[in-house]
Amino acid sequence: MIKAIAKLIKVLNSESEPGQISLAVGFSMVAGFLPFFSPATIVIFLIVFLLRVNMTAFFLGTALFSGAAYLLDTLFHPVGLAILSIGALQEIWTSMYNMTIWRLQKFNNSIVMGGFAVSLLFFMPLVLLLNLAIRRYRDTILAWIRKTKLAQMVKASKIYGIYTTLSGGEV
Amino acid sequence: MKKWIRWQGLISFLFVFGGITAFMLLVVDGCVERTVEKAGTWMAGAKVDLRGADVKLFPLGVTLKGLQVTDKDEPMTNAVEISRIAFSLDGLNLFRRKVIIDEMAVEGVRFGTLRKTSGAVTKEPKKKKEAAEDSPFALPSFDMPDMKKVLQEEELRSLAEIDALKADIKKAKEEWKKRTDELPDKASTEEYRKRIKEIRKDKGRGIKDIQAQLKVASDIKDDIDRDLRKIREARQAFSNDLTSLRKRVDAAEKAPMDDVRRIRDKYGISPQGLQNMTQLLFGGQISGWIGKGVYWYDRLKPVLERSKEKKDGVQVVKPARGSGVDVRFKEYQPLPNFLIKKINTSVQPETGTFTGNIRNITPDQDVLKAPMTFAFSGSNMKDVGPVTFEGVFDHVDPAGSDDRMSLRVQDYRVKGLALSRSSDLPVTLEQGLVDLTMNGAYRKNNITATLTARVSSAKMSAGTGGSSNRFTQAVSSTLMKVSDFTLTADVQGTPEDYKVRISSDLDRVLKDAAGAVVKEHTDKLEQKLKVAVFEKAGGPLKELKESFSGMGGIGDRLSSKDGQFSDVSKEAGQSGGSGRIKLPF
Repeated sequence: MIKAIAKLIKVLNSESEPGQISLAVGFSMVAGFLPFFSPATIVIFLIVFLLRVNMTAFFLGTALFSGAAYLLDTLFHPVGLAILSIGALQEIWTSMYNMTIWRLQKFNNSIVMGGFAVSLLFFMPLVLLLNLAIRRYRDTILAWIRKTKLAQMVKASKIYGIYTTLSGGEV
Repeated sequence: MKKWIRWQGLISFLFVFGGITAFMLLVVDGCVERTVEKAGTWMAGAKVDLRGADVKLFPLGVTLKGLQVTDKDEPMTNAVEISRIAFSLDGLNLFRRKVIIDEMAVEGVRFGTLRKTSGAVTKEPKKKKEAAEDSPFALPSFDMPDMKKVLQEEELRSLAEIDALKADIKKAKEEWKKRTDELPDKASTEEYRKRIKEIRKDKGRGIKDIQAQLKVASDIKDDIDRDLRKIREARQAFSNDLTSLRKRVDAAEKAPMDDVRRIRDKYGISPQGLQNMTQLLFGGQISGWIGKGVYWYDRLKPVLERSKEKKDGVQVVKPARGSGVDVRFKEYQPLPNFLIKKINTSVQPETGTFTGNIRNITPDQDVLKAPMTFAFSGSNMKDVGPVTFEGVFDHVDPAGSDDRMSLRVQDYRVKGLALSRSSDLPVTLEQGLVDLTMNGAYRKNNITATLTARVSSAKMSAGTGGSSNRFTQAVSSTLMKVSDFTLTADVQGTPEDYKVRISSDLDRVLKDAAGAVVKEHTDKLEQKLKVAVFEKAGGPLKELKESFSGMGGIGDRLSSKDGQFSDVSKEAGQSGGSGRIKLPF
């Protein structure tokens, strides 16, 4: 847990673009809410590997949202069942049901559909909010910490110089 | 845009997922093996072992070797052992999460093989029903019970009846004594006589005097008759009460014998109990065999049908594990989620090879629109003639499921078949020729089955377990003389609560043999009980009779009063106004 928090702080304090971090967390939410072994998850992984998003944030987020998904099953089930029962969408569901790739995705399971719908609904708001939050954090809290005497002393020390050289960047 | 794409990420992706796929291919055999063992253990309720599994990708197929299913009741024995199961899978449908097997080969099926290690998984407490089935034959006891103890434990209904009747007689006596006292007595008759005399003395001559005399005479007559009527009514009521009490006294006299018979039937051996000796002797063993059949049928149910429900017009299937529900939509080419179209199998009991096939194994018969069927046959087998075993498990309409099966076995040479494992009276069919027929059905949660075994050229051994019990000896010697008999078992009820009724032509033979022994014992018991019961009930019964005879005194009093008033009434009828004119009554 401490390691994960340390990693998170490291990511937030890194020179990564806020958009790279927030997008990674957004994708991690979709991947976390879907079953791990499914075509959609593979596609998400492909996108994440191809796009220059923060991998640490993605893997941390995936672990976090996978855990949360178990707790949110009771929300996903009624949402998914309601979506799958919408009369106007029956034709679409029926044709998808008859296609192998969608059956492999198990879209007709109430929790899978519910998780997918919830993650899509919150994807953009989460990315935008995180973007804003990271920028604010860096402009205010991080800037203030860096100006403190303690931080100045640490940064001026030789040990810190060796550490940044080895770790490949500023913390 | 270039800033957002990293092409080397594609290589990493292919490397990661390629690695995962390769790893899964390496462990898939082990996964299949463990899955089969786990699922099989859950289904059988006892350990299922698999020697090995081999999964081939091109074409997609699975081979299972050395499958052993433990007998739940005998953990050191396999209920079934299969040397090889091989089948190919429809790969495309597997991606659609449908397991479709066109043909499966099941080879080397053997039953009752020995295990090297125990296959017990849990020590479940036995169900009450099973415990009852396994309960051994209870030998009727021929020991004479201790009469003192018997009479301490048994309430004598006759004593209660006698006491109640005594109290009623006492009450009736008191009531009748009071009522009799209240009735006109001898003093009243004297009074009437006095009044009659006075009329006779009166010497009136005129018409008016005569009329007045007649009026007085008529009044006296009316008074006498009213009293007489009262007495006669009382006599009649007393007579009714007496009759009713007499009947009860008669019944009370018989009550001790009723007690004797009731206690005799409870502690003795009822001849009616001998009507179905085969049920008593072989019921436990045959019920055990039937119980095993019902148990395996129950285990087979999940393979025949799964629970489904409709939600807003679409079918919702409850998954066996995990959460959420799978919603089913209309399939353009409907196929069940699991289907084995045909299994070709060869079963190898000790008698030879038994071949057959099972078709349409699926829990979604309503989707397939075809029932599961099976047909096995064996011929040219050692020690048995033609054998056929056929059946249909029709769950196409889940609400009206209809399962039927029939078994025919001809000329089966039986050797050493235990019919009763009772330690008191073990019975073994040492040898015999058996024709076996079984027809069973399961509809609307109700089992009906009839199993008939015709045994000829039988040689039975029946021990007495070292018992000197004459009943056991009689039954044992009779069974050993029997050469031909028919046993029929009728099964009725639900799978949870069914009754097995066994009948046989052996019943009559056994009843004749054991009947004399039972009668002698029953007569002795009855004689002892009679002495003991009358010892207790004799005194109160004597008191009751004496008390009842006391009722006669009241009857005599009433009778006497009736006579007295009748006389007075006659006298009054002979009276005239002056002795010269006869009264008009």
